[in-house]
Formats: sequence, structure tokens, C-alpha cells
Amino acid sequence: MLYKRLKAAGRFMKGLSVMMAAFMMSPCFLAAAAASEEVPEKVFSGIGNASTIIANIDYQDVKASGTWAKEAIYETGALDLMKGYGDRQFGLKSPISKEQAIAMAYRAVGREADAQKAAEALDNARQKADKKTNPLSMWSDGYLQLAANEGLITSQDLADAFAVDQTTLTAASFHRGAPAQRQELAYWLAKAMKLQPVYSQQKIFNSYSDWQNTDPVKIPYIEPILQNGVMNGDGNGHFGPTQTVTREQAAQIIKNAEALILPQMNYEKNLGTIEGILKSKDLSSGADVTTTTFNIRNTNGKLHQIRVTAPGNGTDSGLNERSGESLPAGERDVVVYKDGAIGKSGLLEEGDRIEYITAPDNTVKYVKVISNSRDTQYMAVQVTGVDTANGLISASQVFGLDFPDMEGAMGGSTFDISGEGINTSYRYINGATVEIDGKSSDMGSLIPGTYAILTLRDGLVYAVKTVDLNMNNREKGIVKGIVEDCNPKLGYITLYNEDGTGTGADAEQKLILNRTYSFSNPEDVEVYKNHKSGSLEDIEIGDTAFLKTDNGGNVVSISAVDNYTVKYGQVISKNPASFTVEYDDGTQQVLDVKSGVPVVDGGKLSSYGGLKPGDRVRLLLNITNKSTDVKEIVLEASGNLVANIYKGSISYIDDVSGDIVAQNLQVFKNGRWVRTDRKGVSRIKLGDDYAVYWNNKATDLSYVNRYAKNNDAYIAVQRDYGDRERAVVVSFINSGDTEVLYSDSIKNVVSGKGEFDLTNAYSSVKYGPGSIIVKDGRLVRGNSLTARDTVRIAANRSYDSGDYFAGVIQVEGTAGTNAVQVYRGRISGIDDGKSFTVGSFSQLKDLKWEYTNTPMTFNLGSGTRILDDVGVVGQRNFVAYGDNSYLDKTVYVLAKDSNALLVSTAPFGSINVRGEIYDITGATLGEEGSVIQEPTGIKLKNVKTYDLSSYLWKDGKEMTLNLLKNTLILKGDSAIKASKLQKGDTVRILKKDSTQTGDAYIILVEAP
Amino acid sequence: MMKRVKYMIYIAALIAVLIPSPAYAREGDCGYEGGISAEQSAPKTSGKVTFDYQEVCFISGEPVVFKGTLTVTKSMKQGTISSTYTYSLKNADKSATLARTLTFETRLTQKDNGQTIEETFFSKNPTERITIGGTTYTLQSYTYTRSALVDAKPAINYFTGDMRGTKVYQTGSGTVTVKATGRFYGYDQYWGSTEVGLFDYVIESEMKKGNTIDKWGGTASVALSSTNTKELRYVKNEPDQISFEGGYVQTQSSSSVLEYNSSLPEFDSKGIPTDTMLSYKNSLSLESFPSETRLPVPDISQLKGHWAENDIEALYSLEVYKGNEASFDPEQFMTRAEFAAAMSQAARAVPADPSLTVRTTTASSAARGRNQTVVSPFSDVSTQSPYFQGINDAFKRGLISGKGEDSFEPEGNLTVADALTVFVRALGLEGMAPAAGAVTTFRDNDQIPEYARKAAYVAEKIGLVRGDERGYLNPDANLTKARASAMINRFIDYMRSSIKKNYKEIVDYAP
Repeated sequence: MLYKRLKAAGRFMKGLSVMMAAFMMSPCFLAAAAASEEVPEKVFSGIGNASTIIANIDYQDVKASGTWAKEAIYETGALDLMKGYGDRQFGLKSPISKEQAIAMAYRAVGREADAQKAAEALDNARQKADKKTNPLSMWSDGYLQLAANEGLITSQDLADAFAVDQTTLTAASFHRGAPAQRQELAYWLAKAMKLQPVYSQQKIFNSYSDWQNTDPVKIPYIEPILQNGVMNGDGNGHFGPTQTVTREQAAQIIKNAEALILPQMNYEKNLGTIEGILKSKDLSSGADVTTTTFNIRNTNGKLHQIRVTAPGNGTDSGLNERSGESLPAGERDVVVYKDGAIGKSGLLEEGDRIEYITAPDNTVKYVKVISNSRDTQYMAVQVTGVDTANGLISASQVFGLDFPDMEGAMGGSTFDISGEGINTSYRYINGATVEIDGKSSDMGSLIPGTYAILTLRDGLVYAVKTVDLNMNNREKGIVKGIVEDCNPKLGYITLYNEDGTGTGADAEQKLILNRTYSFSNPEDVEVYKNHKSGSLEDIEIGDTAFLKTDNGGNVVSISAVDNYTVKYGQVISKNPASFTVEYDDGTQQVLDVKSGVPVVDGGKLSSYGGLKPGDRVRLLLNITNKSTDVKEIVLEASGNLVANIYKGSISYIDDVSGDIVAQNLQVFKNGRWVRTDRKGVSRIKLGDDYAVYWNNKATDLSYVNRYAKNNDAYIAVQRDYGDRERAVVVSFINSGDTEVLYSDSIKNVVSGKGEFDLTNAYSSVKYGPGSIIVKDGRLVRGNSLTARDTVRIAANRSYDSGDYFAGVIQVEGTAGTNAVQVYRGRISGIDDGKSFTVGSFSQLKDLKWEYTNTPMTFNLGSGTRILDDVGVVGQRNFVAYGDNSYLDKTVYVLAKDSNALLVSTAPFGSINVRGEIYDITGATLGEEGSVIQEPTGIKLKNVKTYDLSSYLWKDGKEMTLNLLKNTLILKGDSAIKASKLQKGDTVRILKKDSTQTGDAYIILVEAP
Repeated sequence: MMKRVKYMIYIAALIAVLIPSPAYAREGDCGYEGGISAEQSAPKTSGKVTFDYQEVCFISGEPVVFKGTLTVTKSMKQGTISSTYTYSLKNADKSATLARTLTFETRLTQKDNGQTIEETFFSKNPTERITIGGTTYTLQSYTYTRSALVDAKPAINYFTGDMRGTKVYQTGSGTVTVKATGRFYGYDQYWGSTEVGLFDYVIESEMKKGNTIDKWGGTASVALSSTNTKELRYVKNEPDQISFEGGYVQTQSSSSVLEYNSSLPEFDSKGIPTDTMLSYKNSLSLESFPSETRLPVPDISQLKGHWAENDIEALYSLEVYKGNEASFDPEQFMTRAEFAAAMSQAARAVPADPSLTVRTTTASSAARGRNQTVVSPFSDVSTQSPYFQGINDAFKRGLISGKGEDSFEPEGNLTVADALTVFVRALGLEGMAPAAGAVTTFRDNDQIPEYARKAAYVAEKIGLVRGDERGYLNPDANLTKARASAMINRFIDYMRSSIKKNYKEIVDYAP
């Protein structure tokens, strides 16, 4: 209960926070807040060394140039991510060397101190003569050492780099001064930033045609660099892995990496608009200090303040020891970049849209003026065409923006890119900056269809920057994960974390807070399960789900697929709503079966009732760490019925060939052991899975080969492909025991004791793992035995205890349901191919024909067979007219309800005889075992004839009977061919008279 | 710079020629006519393999089982396989014979993702002649199309495909048309291969008898599987006084099973079809004579009684482990070099199709190999290292990756999670895991590192790994040699038998 409430609470909080965010973004809120005396959310201050930084990074060569990387150079400089040469020169076009690249990568993640420590350690270890005099060179050694320690370069590389005589190095060596390759820089950056390597590369293979030129070792590291947009291709589908990197390019790369670097330094990047600038003087401390406060409305609608202080003239401060100028002591200002120049806060104006990077100590490290809201407008557009001749760009607006940046613009809400505006032409200025995929480019290269942000001033396009709405700036509001819980009634769905975690004990609360999404109205949620339209009830725990949320954070659409597992096993026992299965790996599990779980038998939907202990099944399971749910049960089509049970003396079991070599095999038939055809020794193949029991305990072949030579054993076999018999259980009999056979029924099962009492024999029989128990034709465990089961048992009386122990228990099928009836009647009419009618009929009831003087109509179906004295007759020839008319012929009809299964013209017989087949004659079998000629006769022994006058079976002499082409042979509920009769079958036969010879008209094979 | 070492490849080439390649069935060894085959034990010549073969024919309106031989010749030239399937079959009981020759051309197209698309056509007119009890059916036309996809993974190739064909037979008095559609699935790898085929037929006959035309139709479905397996069996020695207690015997055998179901009209006593439909259901099986190989016996007497003794002994016998038997310490952490070398043997490359073996003479390969040098892909693995071959092979096949730029960290250890990624990568089954953060049922699911998450999920699902007695995977634990041995042996077991089951069961459950 508590759990559910927590869930509900989580759901509420989620909804609330989204609502608040939406509210705060609305413009009216902004206006209202500005008017009142608002408490700022955060107050930031300037930094003490702003002037020094500006002096350091105001590079002369950069200032003079029109480099596109100006912004990056200033920003990385201000943030101390990249350094110049120290002489106010940046060195725009010089390629960076390998050692510089490594140093750059480490500096970018703030590891300068570590490198210096490494450098000092190295230097201390050097002989005095070898000590480096140039500190830059010494520090560089430190970076290289650090790089070697952390696997950026190999120890061989380091040795190369430290080689005193660099001229001895070969082309393959590591030249520290050689230009770094793009792939190297990418690799070192990824390593230095500790990015996880990505082994399933997508971006590099999909986007760049020259990926084969890339060092395969580096690819997993380059991938995250590409995915995070730190480095890009050249716009023509080339990554250029072996190209060099200029310093201006490097600056841009480092700036691109800021999204990864800044969080590591705990820096925050904010966007906002300057609403007002307030100046105040403070003379209280005796000094003349001017404080300027900048009120900034950030993109979340919050008020931020930046306060900078400047000391007035006359303040006591130090002097520059060389120039004699007074140092601006007490100054706390910010580094500002505006319109291509670097300066202090004096550059800032009201209405400026700024990006400001703040440190955890609430100082502002860098402010970049993006534009002024009074003169600049931004919009996200889809470019539809560029007319370079006339300086026009046509585009359709998708939405307006406050900043030329997607992240700031979206604020967590979704947008609909299908609702584009009308197509408009804009004039662009000469020299408008064009940035395609993060690279400086020209208007002519803009491909229609791409999305871009336009910077407009006075209706003129000043800048175009393409954005990838599908890749880097993806649609918002889509979440994915494995379903942890889905509750349509309470209206929420919880996912595991996107990285698959969330099962731990303490993870639950976090999931409730962070990964629970509510449905505003469960009825309205669009649901796809396995790509088919469905309802929330179809979403299951363990599914892979994708959720789409609306602006309010509520789930509007779910697409989920299941993650079911297929497992194979055998049904051990069965209850009305659950069953126990033993999987192929030997483990057992009890599975609940909910109503509606499909049970499939032979490609058809069956019912749970059709599942029987002993069945082999294929289960479709939804296995989660909460439960295992059965989704489908498929019965093995070929079944695994026990074909025969043998008894024989086992010579040995050859585990190489898998043969059981046994002498004097007998087969269990009608509760008795009957000799098989083969004399002497027989071989039976072991199945793939078999069990051997000795003394009621499972054992292995080596044991029985050692201790059980020529011991008797019971062997249960199943039929495998190609009609081969395969032993599944071999159960040895204690040699001292004596076998007793029972044909009886179970009176009661003594539960839990492995024992049952017999009804007639007044004795109790024990069973165990070694007992071969067959029920419904399947091998089952003892717990499937129930009272009133009719059983045939081969038990052994223990020499030691006198107990009866069952070796074989065969449970007979329940008595026939008499679904199939035998009728005889004279045909009075035939409706061709549909039905036929007999004028009056007799029905075989037990031993007698019961006559009914009413007509009866039987349906002909596609399965109805017709036999006359020459054999099969087609239904189309079964007509009541013409030369071969069946009108007035008397026929036997085997029917189920009123559907005829078989019609036979065999003569009438009313004499019942019963006997056991001891020979079958006239049949020819082919070399391959197929029946070429059906048998024409059978011989019976143990014959009894039913005396109609005394209603008694009387012993008779053995009989030799002919089988006719239209003799009706019935086994169970189906008609069989004569070749299916077996020696040892007990049959009841209807014939004309009680003589020892003659024709058999109807043969009923009695249940074995 | 000792990175480069001259290495004469021709020695290896020579050995490769001398050792007979393992006798293995490949895709198509059962043909595509819905029959099963098993390789004959007779020695085969290169490019030509003869199989014992069986199939069921339904054109007479009754299932007739044909048995005999199928001879397959294959050759490959410039991405095209030419193959000829010659069938010579009979059924004495039905006085029936079948002679058929099909000549195919299979075009292989390798796609960028490493998958290969196969498209097959007749390159010569197919011939077929069936006689059943005096009636001769002659193939008049056979339209046919087949396409397969082969997905090659580091240690296993998976394939799947479809076929469709229509045969028209001419008899003296009419025609029989058989429409066939089929699907097949399978895999190929060092420890075994399996192919499963499911075929559906519609048989339509039109026979002229006197002035009437008898028309009938029937259906049949055939499900078959053909497997090749290597099984391992331990044989204990009888005598006591012998230098080793017993040893492993590897048995290699192939077996095929077929199950058919058909629904065909019953024929009356004059041989005229009736409206009564009879269902036939039966099965066939074929087995090759198994070949046995004794495996070497390692001397690891110091491990007698250890939990992992059997695993370690089996791996030494299979030469997955080599050398240092006496100093094998199961409690030691396994190094990456040892693991890579073991996996290069446990997840061996997929053997080439024997019927496609290109005749290479020792001389020519020696000539080619003489001047080749072997370069280690890693600066920290010397070509002289005893693990070099294994590491190089495992790396080249994508089983295991290096650590950083051209280094392998051969002496580094690896975790359970690392090992699982290697196993699952070898099998190429990462795709079985859900894309969005697979959740396992291990109690320490949250501790599984992200890179190993899919592998852990798949390994659990296919039974490669189970939690310990308390349900923990301990993914971050360093792999001891004992645990590695158990895991690798389990992996080989999976390759040998568990995966086979997943394919074979399709036939058992075919409706």
C-alpha cells in the first residue's frame, strides 16, 4: 500500500514540476516579475584577475585577423583551457604538435597541476647536466609522462619522446614535435576526458567515407568525440583522420568540448537577457568603490545578478613595477566578449542577450554577448533555397528563438516540426557568416531542406548556422527503457534506467522520482505493442518501451515490444491453475497459468486441459526479476509417448555407440510379458536424454556396467524419427526379488509416502524414481497417480523387506466413451456426396444387435471411407442408381453421432468370438518394411464363443479366420487397416457362425 | 625496435594441408528438395561429396520414401558458386526409382555490414525422372528461386533463406504439378553445424483415364534437421598401472531427421482417386558412422579433486589450453593474454565448406608465404610470445579488443563482465538484448558495467551463465583460472549442444 502511495506521490511531483516550468516560460510571468521587488535566485560576482586575463588573451594576431575561431580562442583563453605563446601571439595557422595536443587535452580537463608534479618528479630524477632549462619543455615532459601513465601513449612512445638524440628516431617513432593528427587529438581528448569508448560505432561508419583510414584502435574513442559534436567532418563526408590541426581549429574543438568539460569543472553555462544595469557607490569602507549590478533574466525565467566592483581613483594600490601604472586593486570584473572584441563589463548594455559561464564560487568566468534583443532576431527555419546571384535565402520559419542555440530555446518542451510556417525570402548581407555542421562555410553550400538558425538584423540575414534537429538536437520528450511497472488504474508507468540499472534495493525510490511518468488520461494514451495497436493492459513488466510525453510531461503515446524467452521442458505435474516444469538444464519451476494463455497442440489452439504430465512443451515466458509469466504453451507435435516397455537381461550398455545390449527381451502387453520377435540378443538405442536407475537411485553407465552384468532391467522406450525406438528409462531389478503382476485399480494413494493400495489385491505397492510409470501414454512421476486409476503393474517383492516395489505401472485409459457406434442397415436412399439413409437399422450394443424400426440418415464427409468386397470405393461411386447401385444394399456403418466414418458392405454376423491373435497370415512386407500386401487371415488362440442362449462365454477351439477387403477393424475409436493388427492383440470378432473357420466381419481390438 | 619479426608462413600452410579438414556439412548438403543426408564415411575428393540421402515423394498420391545417394559438386569462382546436385534414389517396395540432376549458380553478394546475400538460379536445365510402380513421371519444367542470407560472426555463421519452386511432371496420360515453398535456418561453426528446413508442397494431378480426366490435389509438409556434432566423452583406463588415468575421446557424427505430414486422396480399388482424404505422418532418420579421435591427456595431477579439475582437463585435452600444465594454478587470476589465446581456440574460426575446398598445392602457398612477415598489432605483444598466435587471431577476428593505442596489456587481468562480452561477441548475439538498457535478473544487476550489459543479458538468456547460489553475478570480480575454465568449457558446451537444440526443436514442434 505504502509502495503504491509513493508511486502516486512521485507521479504528482512529476506533473507539478513540469507545470511550473511551463508557467515560468510564459512571457506574462516575465513581465510581472520584472515589476516587483524580486529576490534574485543567484548573485554572481566578477573575478579579481579580469584585467590580467584580458591582457593575456588579447592576441595581436587574432585581433588583426578575421578568423572564424575568434570567439573560441577568446573563450577557451578566458576559461584557461588553452594558452597562447605568452607573447600576445596565438599562432592561428600553426599546426599543433603532438606534445602540445597532449598538453591541451590535459589542460582542458584541469590536470595542469598533475602534469607539473610529474614534470618535477622527472626533473628531480635527472642528472644535473640533463636538467631542462626551458620550463615549457620541462612541463611538456610532465604531460608526456602523464599521458604514458594513463595510456594515451605507449611506453615506447614515451621513450621515443624522451630520446636525447631525436635524430636517431625512425619514421615510425613518436616525434613529440611532429604535428598531431586529427585522430590522435580525438583519441587523446577522449582519453583525457575519460569518455567511455563506444564499441558499436554508428556515427563514424554512417557519416564518414574515410573511416577505413582511421586507426581501428582509436575508433571506439573517436566515436564519442563525434557523437558529442566535439569534432566534425569537412562537410563532404570526410573525417580526415590523418590531417593536422591548426591552433585555431584546436580552439574551436576545445570550445565544442565545453559541454563535456564544463561540468567536470563544475562550471555552469547560463543564457539570459540583461534587463537593467544599476550603479552604486560605496564609500563606507573608506575606499571609493563603484558597484555595478547587472540584472539578468535567464532562460528559466529566474532573476540572476552579476555584481562587478571598480575602485575609484586615489585608492591605495600597487604599481606595476615596470611601467609604474597603478594596478586596479580591488577590482572585480568580468571578461566580456562582444562583437568580435574582448573587454570588461563596460561593454555590456541593457537588452544584451548574454551567455555567462559561472564557477561554483559564484564568480563569472566569462560573458559572451550574443546579440541585443533590440536589433537582433533569431529564428529556426528550414532552408528551401539559396539564390547567390541575388543574395537571397528562402526559408520557412519553424519557430522563433531568443538565442541562437537550440538547448536554450527548447527548455524541455517538445515542438512540432511539421507545423512549418510559410516560405519567405530573406536578403543576406555580404559576408554573412555561414556555419554548416559546425564548420565555417559559404551560402552556396547550404543544401535546401536543412534546418538552420538565422540571425536577422533589420530584416537582413547576418548569420546562418545549420542545426541537426534529428541528431544532436533531437526531438524532446521521448524516453525509453525497460518497463519496471505499468499501472493503468493509478495512471503511471515506471521504467528502469536507460542504462539498465535500477533493480538494486535503494534504486526503487530513484525510479519513482525520475523514471515514473503519468498518463493524463489512460484512455487517451496511444499504445502500440509489438507494433500493433493495443491498450495499456498490453504493456508488461520487462517490455522495451518508448514513451512520448506532451508539454505537460504526460505520456501521450507508448510503443513497446516484449522480451519473451523460449524455454523447453517437460511437465512434471499439473494443477488446475499451475504446473511444474522441468527445464532441459534440470532446473524445475512452478508456473501459474492465467486464463487466456494459449495452449497449442499440433498447430491448433487447444485448452489447458489438454496439457498432461509427461508432455514435452515449448514455453514462451516473460522472465523478469519480479516474476516469470507464461505467455504460450506449445505441446511437442510428435509427442513423447512411451512406445513400449521391455524387460530383459542386460549384457552391457555401450556408452560409445549408445546401445543397450539385452538378452531375451519381453514386451509388457496387457499386463503380461510377451516375447518379442527377435531371439537371443537385441540392441536398443539410448535416447538423447535417458536415466538409469539402480536400486531406485539414479546412477551412471559405468556403475551398472561394473556391477549389473546380466541383471534384469525394465526399459521404457519412445519412438524417435525414422520409427526407431530409443530407451528413455532403464531401471534395474534387484536380482533377489521376485516379480508379481497385478491388473487392478488404485484404491487410494498414500500421499507423501510413495505408496498406494490396490482395490482387489488388498496389498500396497511402493514406487520411487526408478518406477516406470506410464499414464496417458506418457512417462510421469508418481504424484500423477490417483485413486481409481486402472493399473497394470509389474512389481517386485523385496527379498529383504517383503515390500512390493513397482517396476512398471501402466495406467489404462479410462473406459471408452463409446463415441463411435457401429450400425447396420439397408440403404433406402443416397444424397450424392452428402448423406445416405437406411430404412431401419440395428445398433451393436455390447454383444448384441439392437433393432430399431426407424430410418436413420448418416452424413458423408471428406473423411468417410467406403469399402466393398473389392476394396475402397470412391464416394462418387456410392450412388443409388446405375449398374453399381447401392440402393437396398445392407451395410455396416461406423459413425460418430450421425457422421459416417466408414461404410462397409461386409455380410451380417451376429456370433461373438473372443481370442488372442497368435498369427497373422497373407501379408507381404517390402524390404523397407512397408506393407505391400495387407494380411488376409488371422489365427486366434484362447478362443471363447458367446452363447446367445445361455448368455455365457464358452471356451472354444482355436480359429483360423479370413480377413475380407471390407472387414471392419476398430481399435479404440478409429478404424484401422488389417496390417495394424499385432500378435498378442485380444480381439472380439463378429462372424456368421461359431465354426473354427470363416470370415471375420467386424474385429474390435480390445484395450490392451 | 623489435616489433617486426620474420616469420615463415609456409610452415603453417604445410601443416594445414596435411591435416584433413574436419568433415562438416555446410548449408545445402541436404539439397533443397526436402530430403535429408548424412555424409558417407568413404573418403571424398576435393570439390565432390557424396551423401546417403532420403526424401519423400508425393506425386503418386501416396508418400513414397526414396533412399539412395546425393552427390554434390561445388566450385567457386569470382563470387559465384556453381553446384551440381545429382540424386540417384529408389524404393524397392514400390518398384520406384528417382534420378535427378540440378545445376545451380549461386551469386554471392557481400554487403558492407559483413553479411552475404546468396541468390540461386538454375544454370542448366534441370532433369528429373521418377518411376513409381510402372508410371514414369518426367520433369517437364521447373521454375525455381532461392535466396539466402549469411551473417558471419567471429566464431559462427548464421544463415537463413527461402525457396520457391514449381515442378511440372509429364506422364503418359497427364501431368502432375508440385508447388513448393521452403524456409531454412542454420548455423555453422567449429563445434557443430545445424540446418533446419521447413517445406510445404501442394500437389495437383490431372490424369486422363479413358474419356475422363481425373483431377486431384493434396498437400504435404516436410520438416527436417541436419546436424553435425562433436561430442566429448571421458574414458577411464582399466589398468591401474598406466601413466594416465584416462582421457577424452571426441566423437564426430552427423545425423538428420525428417518428419512429413501429408493429406492426400484415397484411391479406390481401381486406382481412381476418391474424395476421402487420408492423412499420412511419418518420419525418417539418417546417421553417419561416427568418427572418433583420442585427445591428448594433460598432466594436471596437482589439481586432482579440485572443483574445476574436469573443466581444466577438458580444455587441455581440446588444446584450448596449451603448456604449463604442472604450474597451472586455478586460484590465480587469468591474464588477458591467456584468455585471448584460449578463446582463439575455444571460439575457433568457422571451417571452410569442405565441398568448396580450393585445391592448393604446398609449393604455391610456400612460394607466396616465403617473404611475408608477421607484424604484431600490439607493441606490448611480441611475435615471439607464446600467446602471440592466439592474441593475434582473437584480435583479428574481433573476439577481443586491445587496450588503448596498439597496446594489449597481455599481463592485465579481466573481469567476469569482460569475459561475457567476449563470449557473446564470438556468438554475435548482442542483438538479442533489448536496445534500451537490458535488465538482467541477477541480484547485482545494477553493478554490471554498461559495456557488458547486453552481453550479460544474452548470456543469462541463453544459459551461458547463471548467478551464484545467492543469485549474484559478481561482474566486477577478476576472473580466476578456475572460473575462466568453467566458463569457457560451458561456452564450448553451448556451441556443441545447447544451440543445436534451439534449431532442432523447430522440427519437433513443427505442426
